[in-house]
Amino acid sequence: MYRAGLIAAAAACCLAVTIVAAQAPGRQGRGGAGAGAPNPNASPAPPAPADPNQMQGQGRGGALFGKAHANIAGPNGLTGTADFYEIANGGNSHMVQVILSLQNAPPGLHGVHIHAVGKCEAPAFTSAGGHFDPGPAGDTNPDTNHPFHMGDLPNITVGANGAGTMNVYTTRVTMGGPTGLFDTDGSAIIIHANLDPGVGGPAGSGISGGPRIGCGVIER
Amino acid sequence: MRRRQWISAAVAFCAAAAFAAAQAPVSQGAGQGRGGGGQGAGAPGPGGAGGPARGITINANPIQKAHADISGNGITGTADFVEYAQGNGQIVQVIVNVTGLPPGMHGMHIHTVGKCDPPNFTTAGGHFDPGPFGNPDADLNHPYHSGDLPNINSAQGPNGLTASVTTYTTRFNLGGPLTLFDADGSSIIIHANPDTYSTGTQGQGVAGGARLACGVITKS
Repeated sequence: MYRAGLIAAAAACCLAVTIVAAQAPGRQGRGGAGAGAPNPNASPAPPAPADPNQMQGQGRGGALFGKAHANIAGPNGLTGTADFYEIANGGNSHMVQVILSLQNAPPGLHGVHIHAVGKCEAPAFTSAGGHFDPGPAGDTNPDTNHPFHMGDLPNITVGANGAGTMNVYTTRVTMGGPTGLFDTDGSAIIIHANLDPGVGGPAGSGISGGPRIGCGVIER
Repeated sequence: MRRRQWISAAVAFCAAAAFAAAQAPVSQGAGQGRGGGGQGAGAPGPGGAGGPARGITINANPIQKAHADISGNGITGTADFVEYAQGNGQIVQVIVNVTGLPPGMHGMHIHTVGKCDPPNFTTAGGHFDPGPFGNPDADLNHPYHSGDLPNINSAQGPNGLTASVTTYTTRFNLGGPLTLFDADGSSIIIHANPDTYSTGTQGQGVAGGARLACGVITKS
């Protein structure tokens, strides 16, 4: 009982310590050996940025500007979750962290993308449209405009036990604004049967991952 | 004394937990723990205490680097680019330090051509936007270009007007379809006005207007 209490207290303290550290002004963007705490010696630290947004409490270390979630499912028992966190990315801009977790998936590498429509109709999930790519010059074709879409993400690696996780960042999307996931028809995250080689190909070639084996509507 | 022991135990627990969490999602070898850990709140992700934490932690060795010496009328500075693996994709850290910029926010972008002819730097072309559907027009296709970056803020400091920003991008890299080192190279430009991060009409200057400083990006 005492030990459990100590661990809980330690965890609480840890959280407080890292949040306080992360909120210290002028600490933006410095790395720390995989730990949550800043380490000014981990990489060549530039002078503390004089960012007016920091003074306003925007764009400050640890700030969360939005979050979203998707429950992923596929016709062959695949399940999973995707969590999206909009965090500061220098200047007055943001980036999105994507944390993906899959179970009951085929082992190996699988293409992962944000698709243009927040609609997942099994089994083929074609209702989710092409790869998310807003803007006047955008083109959602998964083959011909790959890997230039705003919704393109790295592959996920699934182990022999059918489970896989991925923790990546993208500066191509946000929750709102011109590159926002929550446009009029929403967005979905799709897991493909094959790996994404990160190159384009002819229309219909399925170069970026082929059949869709899992889909999740992205919700606030 | 007892309190100090308790705190050190808590911090040790925190570091261990956060390190384990950071190691979990991406196995990138030795892991220098680079990146903006200062933005990490240390809060556990949806996977629980063993899952990825929200915030920037890039646990990977640099793949390759690039550099630009930036200059303009009374303006000098540097831009450093470091590409890291994330999953089987890449993320590029961009650190810019400049002196002599007028106070306030300034738009900053990668431009399509590695050529900086003063005083107007029009030789650098539009915003870097490779791909079959790319459009480098600084207004019409903004902020969807691959080369769009956050604003940089200049303020009076002990050594005069200084501006610094550390940011990350997944919109370009230093090799492959999204490389800055295409046939005509690339450059980084700092503009007179803030980037509004919105789309405009041709010639409107929504991304920052006149070009104050420019640097050709070279491999390092």
